[in-house]
Amino acid sequence: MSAANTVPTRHTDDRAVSAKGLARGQVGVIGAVVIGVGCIAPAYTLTAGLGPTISVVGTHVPAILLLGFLPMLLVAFGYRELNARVPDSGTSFTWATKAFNPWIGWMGGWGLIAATVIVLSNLAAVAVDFFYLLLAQILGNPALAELTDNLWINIPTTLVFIAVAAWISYRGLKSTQHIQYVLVGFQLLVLGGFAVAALVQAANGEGFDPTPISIDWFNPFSFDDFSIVAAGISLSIFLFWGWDTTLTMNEETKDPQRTSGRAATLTVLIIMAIYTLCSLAVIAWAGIGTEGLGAGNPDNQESLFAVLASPVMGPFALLMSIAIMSSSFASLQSTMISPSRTLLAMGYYRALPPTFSRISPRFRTPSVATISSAVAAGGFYTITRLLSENALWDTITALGLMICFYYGITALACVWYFRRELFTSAHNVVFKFLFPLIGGAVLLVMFFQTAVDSISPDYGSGSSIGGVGMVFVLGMGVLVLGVVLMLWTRLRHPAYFRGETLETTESTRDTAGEGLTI
Amino acid sequence: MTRHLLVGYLATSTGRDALHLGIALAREQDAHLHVVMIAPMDSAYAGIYPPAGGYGSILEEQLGAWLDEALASIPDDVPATGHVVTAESDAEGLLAAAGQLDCSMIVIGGRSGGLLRRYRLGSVATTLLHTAPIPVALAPAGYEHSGPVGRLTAMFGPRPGAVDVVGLGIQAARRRSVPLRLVSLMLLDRAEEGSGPGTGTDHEDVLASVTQYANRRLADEAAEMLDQGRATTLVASGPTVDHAMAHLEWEPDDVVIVGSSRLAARGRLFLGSTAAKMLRTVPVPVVVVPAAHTGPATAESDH
Repeated sequence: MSAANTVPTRHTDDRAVSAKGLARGQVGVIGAVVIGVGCIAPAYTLTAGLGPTISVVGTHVPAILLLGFLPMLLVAFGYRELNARVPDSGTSFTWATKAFNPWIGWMGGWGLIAATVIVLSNLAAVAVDFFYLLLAQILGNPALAELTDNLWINIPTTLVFIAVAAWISYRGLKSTQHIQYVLVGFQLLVLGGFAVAALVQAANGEGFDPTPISIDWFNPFSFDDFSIVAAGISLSIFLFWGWDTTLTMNEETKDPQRTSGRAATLTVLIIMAIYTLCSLAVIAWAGIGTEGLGAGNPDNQESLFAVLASPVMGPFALLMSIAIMSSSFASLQSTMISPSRTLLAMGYYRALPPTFSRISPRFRTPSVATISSAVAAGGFYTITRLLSENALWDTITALGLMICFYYGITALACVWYFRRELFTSAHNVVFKFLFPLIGGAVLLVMFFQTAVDSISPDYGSGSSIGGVGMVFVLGMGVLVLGVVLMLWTRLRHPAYFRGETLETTESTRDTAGEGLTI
Repeated sequence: MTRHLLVGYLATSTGRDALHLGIALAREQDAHLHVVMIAPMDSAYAGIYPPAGGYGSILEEQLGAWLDEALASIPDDVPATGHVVTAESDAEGLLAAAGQLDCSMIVIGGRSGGLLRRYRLGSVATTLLHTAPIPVALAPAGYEHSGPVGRLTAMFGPRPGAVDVVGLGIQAARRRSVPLRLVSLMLLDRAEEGSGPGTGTDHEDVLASVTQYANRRLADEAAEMLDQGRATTLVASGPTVDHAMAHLEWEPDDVVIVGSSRLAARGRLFLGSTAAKMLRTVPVPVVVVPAAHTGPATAESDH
């Protein structure tokens, strides 16, 4: 094209859109709280995570929630600082590469992808469990609920759920404001209803094993074994995972100065309240005994509400099934987007074969990356299900491990990336230095402690392979697989590892970021 | 006055069909093409977690590269500008861009080919055909004609909207100096009511239909064009749209103009069932005109 009168030009029309391609100034405090609670999906996290947590800390769930939230909070501030300065689709991958080196960056990205892939497989499995439970409840045929125990039915159904969610993501369809409000409102209502019913029944001595609530359950200093604290914190990190989304919202809020801070505070209060209420209700109603409906019974811990909803709520247990299934599936679909974008960014920077950076011309979404995420989640689920009878339980624990790993790296990346400006203001001292340093260090300590503890075959659900605990096999297996893939990529596509595509730098020298963000 | 045409582009065969049609329509006209690609925008409510900012920059880089390829393929004699527009939905983004860029037509490749897809419009095309305040041009699958447009066919019938179809047909044929084919589409149940003529090419019949369904002034203009040999007429009739359409032969440089349904609010498109059926059978580009689009010049309605 060179004709003088017809030089084609290209514009990027800025239509009230922020650097992140998000609508600007649309979300108020309530909206942001809904988004935050929606990302956490409490109905799902409680049914999947409360059992394993009770198995570790017994009645002291409220105490461990308080302890677990602190490192999460501290790390989230570091995440927010990085996201504000270097908004990048690769997040942890990009930041750790910039701050440390391509190798740590690659593993940070891998940790993030592994965590999201693991949670995808778990979300799909929980959605499937409650799908069959719901069928059984609707049709009045309890045999249907047991279909999910048949691997020949369970695994294919789970793969179908994952495939459907991937297809929705690939088509670029996303949850709307309306869907989120309904999902979140419904979850809170049903969980609240469950908790109140259970507490009232327990108070009347009608529960399975009515257990009087004690103030000691709230005491964070009541733990005398560090391994228990580490395991409990890993699990409670899983319970809060998603909360930090409210902190990273900026341009899309109506008042960037205040909305996200207020929403983050409100979200954590709501989540703390519903978690505390539900864990008190479960323990007060069912006790932590290992028999029957007791919350300490290993058979119940994979999915507490699948067991307890019916005896507590009677016919209303149907609502619990709907709440958990819908929130799990909605999370499955929205979580699918994240690893695909991280993979896309890694392909874009040549830290993975360039095919991962392919974008569907028709739907304008990551194509290879979305399909890979779905295949990985399906593959991970199939393998864990075949290896372990308690796949859900073990994956939740392995997931907590993986979140500690990549959050820890991300928080320390924040400190190191900003190393030249840590002490330039009081804000920086607190939010770029102290908070992320403490949070990151704590999470990495939890990571190592849990990893070492999980070698024991008795750890978690008690599943093991060759005398080694299942959680260790899963967690370390995923990380070792990452190392292998990293070395393979280094051999085949060395440019990224030579620093040619993404330079290791620090905040005051980093100019690449300005070119990367629109 | 330069006319601005908006091409809704994708780096797919559908997008290339739209681009080819845009070029064909703009060729040898005082027209400027705006090639628009929509970057899908994340709603905060999508709940994407963990949050990953900066994805948009990778996406826009890719869209920009595709847009550059598209612009490079446009012949030198057609002035063109590319735009990447961020929007939550494609149809919404194209409509907003058309308004902002003052475009008089949206060109898309909504009619996908293939055995199973033959009878389906894409969702973007469907949305646009039900909401656009300006004409929407649809390229058939595999459209490769490089223009200029050689003949216009205005298809009208007893439904309201005939005035817009005939009006736009006459106006565009004059501006482009191309022959106009006035086709009165008669489904048999209506023909049997005696309100319409039988199968044939009788000028009187078609002009009577123009008078009846549009207005006398347009009929007079049409008669004048017929006298000058710049227009032809045809009555297409049959029990179904498919049968009626079988009366028509097509050239590769044809463009068809059809109206929107009576359900449409004034100034909005709404694809009627007859128009939808026509879209399936016509092998050439179709321009769908919103009701009351052509304004006072032709809206001297007789009812």
